[in-house]
Amino acid sequence: MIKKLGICCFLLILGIGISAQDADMVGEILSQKTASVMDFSYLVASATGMDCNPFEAYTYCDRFGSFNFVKAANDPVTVQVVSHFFMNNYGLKGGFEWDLTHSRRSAWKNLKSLGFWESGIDPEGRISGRDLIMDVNRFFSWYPGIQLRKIPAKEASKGYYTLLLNKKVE
Amino acid sequence: MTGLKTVGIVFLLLLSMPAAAQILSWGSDSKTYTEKLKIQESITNLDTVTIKPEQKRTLTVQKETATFNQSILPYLEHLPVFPENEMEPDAVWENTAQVTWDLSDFSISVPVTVTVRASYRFIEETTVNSKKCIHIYIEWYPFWIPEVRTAKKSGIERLSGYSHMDLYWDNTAGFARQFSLMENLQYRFMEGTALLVTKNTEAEFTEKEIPK
Repeated sequence: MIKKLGICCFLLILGIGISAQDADMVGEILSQKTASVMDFSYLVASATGMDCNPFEAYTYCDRFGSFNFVKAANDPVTVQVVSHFFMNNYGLKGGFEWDLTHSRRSAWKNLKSLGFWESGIDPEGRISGRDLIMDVNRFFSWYPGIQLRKIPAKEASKGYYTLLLNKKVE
Repeated sequence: MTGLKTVGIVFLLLLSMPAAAQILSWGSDSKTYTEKLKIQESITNLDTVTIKPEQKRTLTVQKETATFNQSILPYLEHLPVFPENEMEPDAVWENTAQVTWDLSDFSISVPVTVTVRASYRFIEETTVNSKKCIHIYIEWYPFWIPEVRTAKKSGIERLSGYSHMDLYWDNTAGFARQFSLMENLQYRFMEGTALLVTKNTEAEFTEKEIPK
């Protein structure tokens, strides 16, 4: 009961409607010892009001370039990856190092200096599902009404699309 | 009358007992199975989704070969794999499996095989077409980055996926009865774009009748 209440509160803070699927998915994330890049993507996409499954959320968030390209959907999400996604994609102002490098490390340092992260937190550290939900929750409480930037993305070329459309089903 | 009552109580007790733990395994006989597949595929571009026409096909599966390869679909090997110890509902285990993709349309002549870590969960005992089956949930995340030369030739920068299967395993026969497989595969291209292929496969297995 407490868990369900927590899920509903989280979704309400994000200002999105609560469907049974949202609640189930957040419940699933809550139970993860180590949250994945896909879990993080689902929370971010849910906050925009997107109606999608976790993998679609991952493919969407992958466009923003914070997942270091070599991260599979189930790779653990780290403090640095979360920091970079927040700093880079929500129009937050950073210090000199952030302006200069836009690196994951400087994103983490920036959020740490703002008090978002505890001082002793490991930037490479993995995050549990429960902590990830709390972190995302905290972010949207700190910056109410903050909007994810629009990413300039283009459609795949017709050639690739046709290849996949005509590809023999295995 | 008392005897009947006792039999009734014993029967009720048997019904209310939790399912016994069991060792899951592949069968070793030489039966042949018919695998009826229903496949629905869609392609998602940036903002558009194209659903391909549904495909139906029937495969003949030699159980001996399937057992040897631990495979119920030609492009998935070592899936499912079972631990040697007894399993009961809520049991979880992991094993490696191989996923093979035919990328010849992208000028990659040799099929690409990737090893994945598949996670299993014993959901429950159930019945499928009056056969006692074990419902097992399996998921895996294929991921592949081609060598620079292959990437340049094919245009593919990376493949990343997420697949999950609801498998109904007939442990008496040592073979699958049914499965529902959902595969999501993102093609990311060198030109900086991506396409998502979603494929849903429903399969049903029946023992092939041997003509008299």
